[in-house]
Amino acid sequence: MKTRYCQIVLLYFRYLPYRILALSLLGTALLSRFSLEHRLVAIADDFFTFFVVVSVWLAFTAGVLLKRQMAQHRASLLPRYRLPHIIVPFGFFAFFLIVFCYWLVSLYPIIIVNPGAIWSVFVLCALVISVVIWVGYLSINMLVYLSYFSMLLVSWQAYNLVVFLTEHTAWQFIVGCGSAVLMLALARRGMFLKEESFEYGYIMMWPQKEFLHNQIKAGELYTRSVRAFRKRFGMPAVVLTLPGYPRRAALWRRAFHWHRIDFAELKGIWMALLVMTPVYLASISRLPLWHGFLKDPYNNFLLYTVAPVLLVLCANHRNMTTWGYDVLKPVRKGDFVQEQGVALVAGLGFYWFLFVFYLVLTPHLVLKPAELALPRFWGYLLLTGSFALLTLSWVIFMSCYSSRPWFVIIHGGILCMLAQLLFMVSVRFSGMISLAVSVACWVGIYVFLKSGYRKWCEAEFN
Amino acid sequence: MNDPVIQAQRVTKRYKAKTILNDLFLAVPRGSVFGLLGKNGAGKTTLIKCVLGLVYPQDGLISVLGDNPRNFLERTKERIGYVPQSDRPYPWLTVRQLVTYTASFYPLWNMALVDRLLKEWELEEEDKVGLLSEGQAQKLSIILALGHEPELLIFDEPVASLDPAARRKFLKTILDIVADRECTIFFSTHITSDLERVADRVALLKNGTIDFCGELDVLKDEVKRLRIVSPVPLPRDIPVNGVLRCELSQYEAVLSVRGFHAGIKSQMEQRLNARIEVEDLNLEEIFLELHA
Repeated sequence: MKTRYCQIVLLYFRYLPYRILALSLLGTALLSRFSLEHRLVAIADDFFTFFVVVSVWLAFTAGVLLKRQMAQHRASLLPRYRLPHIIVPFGFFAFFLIVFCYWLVSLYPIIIVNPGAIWSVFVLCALVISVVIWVGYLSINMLVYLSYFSMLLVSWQAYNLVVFLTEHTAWQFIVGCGSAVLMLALARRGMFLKEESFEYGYIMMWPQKEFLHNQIKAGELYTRSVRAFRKRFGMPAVVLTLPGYPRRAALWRRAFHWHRIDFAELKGIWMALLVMTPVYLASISRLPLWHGFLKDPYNNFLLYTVAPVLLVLCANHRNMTTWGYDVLKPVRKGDFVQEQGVALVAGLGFYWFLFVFYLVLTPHLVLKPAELALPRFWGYLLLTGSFALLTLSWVIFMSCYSSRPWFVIIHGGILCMLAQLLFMVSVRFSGMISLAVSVACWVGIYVFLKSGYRKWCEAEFN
Repeated sequence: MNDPVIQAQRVTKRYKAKTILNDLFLAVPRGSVFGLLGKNGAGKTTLIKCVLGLVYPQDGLISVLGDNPRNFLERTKERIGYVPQSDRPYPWLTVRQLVTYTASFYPLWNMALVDRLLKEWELEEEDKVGLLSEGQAQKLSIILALGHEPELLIFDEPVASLDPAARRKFLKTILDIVADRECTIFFSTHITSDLERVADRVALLKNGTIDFCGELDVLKDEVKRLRIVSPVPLPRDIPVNGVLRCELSQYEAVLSVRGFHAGIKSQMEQRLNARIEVEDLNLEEIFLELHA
């Protein structure tokens, strides 16, 4: 096991997330085959989505690892370093492609599509994620945001894309060639990556100190651009001011301040929305590809509930890592916890609104305007918002108990079952039922937030 | 064989508008223990990175072991060991796994030496790299740089995170290496007492250029402190060249002088009709005087 190729392979597999994802991918292929052999066709079909998600995630992880291997002094100073580090991930890619073919053959009776089309989609997904990681100058909150609004949507629509590519063989060729060229360009870039290359410093990975450093650097990209823009057009510089103590009266302002500090670059999203909305509207009215997804708002319960929670946690990660120090500031702990809680909840509202605005309201203005007048429609949206807040409240409450796994597992299991149940039945809810369930959610929110607040006030920060 | 191991000529390095290294010359002789001194932000790390080809200077030529750092041959890389200021490459690996990984890139690897140093420096082989303290990570980084027994060792602030005991061990290791085989060591540090202990040559980096480069003893002979006591009031401008710092009262003066030689004392005694004592300075004092 002393050859460098073996050591590089081991480097990947010793990294737990990569190991789990790689095994999940293999497991998916085997299970789909197994379920087909036992005539569990519906389960085999479900593996398609799972396969896409795991593949994209695996590519993301591989991209991070590859970047980490290349963006360090060893790449320039260890003999015979770079080429093996490029070859190994490409070898993995080839291996997983073979696994994928095996998976495809096993699913062939169900999904009758051209193998080349699916191959192209997967290579494209993997490449886009790799490129994002390779370039990596975006901060994690911006990246997660973009991932949700682009990649997740693409993977959601992977099946439609597959069908599209099946029907348009010329596009298969274009996507395939484009992917190959991009991959070779990435490999070449990796061979010559130096400390002064613009993407060198941005690695999205622990340890925390490096991670935070990179995130701060990534955040500066936006700040610098805005500063340059303001300077260019003679606009006065914005100075962030904090209201002084006592904080009670200034709670919202301070919470908003955290929001501004922690994801200042998200302000760019509003500008992007302003610019992109007309393009988006034009595309949903003309491209039939999106209609299936956007016409029915009731089939994406998890996207409007769980996704904003994940986003708000990612967006606040930088702030959350410093809570231990911030609590030493001259402020009552209760006020501090309350301030952070308000910032989290406000962030959740922001993301939920973005999802609903961009994926539900705007498409329905174009595709089915009559739907906007239905109580059922608004009841459903209220339910998604309430359940998202319930989930966040639960996370806030549970995060005090992170040292008690059994407690977390039981509560997590209950919440997942509840989410799954609502996912299945909410589509049949009338407006009144949605309202009633929302009220129940708000009771839960009150209980979790109150208990969570108390627990956080007693918590010890490391 | 007497060519300098590292040779830099007219090296200029700028980051945007800021010039870090300005028309710098440097020569590190083979077999020397060469210390690089400079204030924070003087450009020590930048110079080391230029020497290693991690960053490229805008102007000038650098040669390391006769090779160009912009495109080191694999054979040259095998002859170089480098310890950066901070290094924690793969936190999920254990110490042993990282050693094995690093060893796999070199045709020759002295595992016995590495094992001995791991034991001496009290590093547990099964500890995760990510869980090591700063000092332990620094020790591991040093051991990894020594494993392939390089001809040229470059350390960037190697002892910054080490406790006094570990620093002693590190210095002893350096002295052992130099005694055992011909190895050139080039290192930057702020801890002048350590440098004084092991370095036979020093370079002082100031304002982007090398202010002094040579043997440590020469530097010590060159920079002295003069205590002048006179029975008559001293003039405001004491007539001596190379004054670095001057504290003057009516009948007494303390001068730090660069370019000192035995003749200066007698000349000044005659001119000022004063008693002059010459004090030797240690490296830290010399550093402070030169940056006064």
